[in-house]
Amino acid sequence: MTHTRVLCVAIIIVFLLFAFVNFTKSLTPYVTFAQAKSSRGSVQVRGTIETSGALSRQSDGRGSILRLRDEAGEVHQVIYRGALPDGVDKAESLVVVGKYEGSAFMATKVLTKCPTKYQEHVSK
Amino acid sequence: MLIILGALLLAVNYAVFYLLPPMEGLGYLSRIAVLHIPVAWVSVLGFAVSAFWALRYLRKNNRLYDIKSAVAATLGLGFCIAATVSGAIFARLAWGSFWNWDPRQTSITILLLTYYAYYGLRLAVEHEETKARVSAVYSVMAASTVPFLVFIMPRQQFSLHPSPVINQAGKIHMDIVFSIVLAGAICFCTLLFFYMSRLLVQKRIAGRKNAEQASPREEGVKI
Repeated sequence: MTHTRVLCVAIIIVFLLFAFVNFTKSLTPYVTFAQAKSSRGSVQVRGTIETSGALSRQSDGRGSILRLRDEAGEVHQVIYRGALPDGVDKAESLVVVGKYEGSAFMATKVLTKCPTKYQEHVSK
Repeated sequence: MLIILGALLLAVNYAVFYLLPPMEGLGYLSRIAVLHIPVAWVSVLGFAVSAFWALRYLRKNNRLYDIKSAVAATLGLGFCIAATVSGAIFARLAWGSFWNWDPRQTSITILLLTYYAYYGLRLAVEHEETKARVSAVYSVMAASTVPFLVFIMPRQQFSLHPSPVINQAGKIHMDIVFSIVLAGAICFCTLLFFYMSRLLVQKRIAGRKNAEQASPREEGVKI
């Protein structure tokens, strides 16, 4: 009886470790610009808007150009043809979906992570 | 019971639409959270309850426990689907995309597949007692992945999902009105879960009894 119980617990623990190690490895879809350059398909790069320097965010009439600092610390230009979501300026971090073309990352989507606090909005 | 449920539902709905102030950053979008958070909580509760009755079944071999375990897992799956759908809508409005394989979304997909497989397992085994034993073991195994998928992994990695209600620092960034409304919604969903499981368990027992009367030679139900 105790033997089977120990065996059961051992099986569950091994199973959990296996699941944990394997899933965490493949769980995140977010990559860096360096990885984005070498991949052909559409990828997701996460980072923060680079605020230092003049051209942190500008519009060229047909869309927007952002300077995004990725996880590795590299800053690259991101071109997005479309209206940026409202939260971009307040966003803790940004995720751009698209692929690297030439010297800039062409985004098809810009996703925002906003600081969600469930606290009443105080209008200024 | 129905009166309590109805009253709570009305109260929560009233509060969501008339009392809840617009939130910092999210505005009125935060209303979805009053649905999304309780539903996600109840799906975890359902999986835990299912594992609890599965363990009881493995100890006592009582068919009633198997029925309770299966009903809880089914409801857990239902609420999990609701959490996924409300989460996707929330994500579209707050991040900008219904589905982008964020770690949260990946882990809930794994969870859904895990419990779809539980369903498949139950349908595949015909012999009643084997079915009950096999699915009880499966339910315990499946529930043991829940803490990892729901609580640990999304906290370890970058995710667009906001830090959960109770975050690492142990601080609750929550407005008092919002917390009360959310608590009400969680009570409602939890009560709804137990009410629905009672009804479904009764229905299955009745179904078993009918089947037994139709073919009396089959092994009786030990309840």
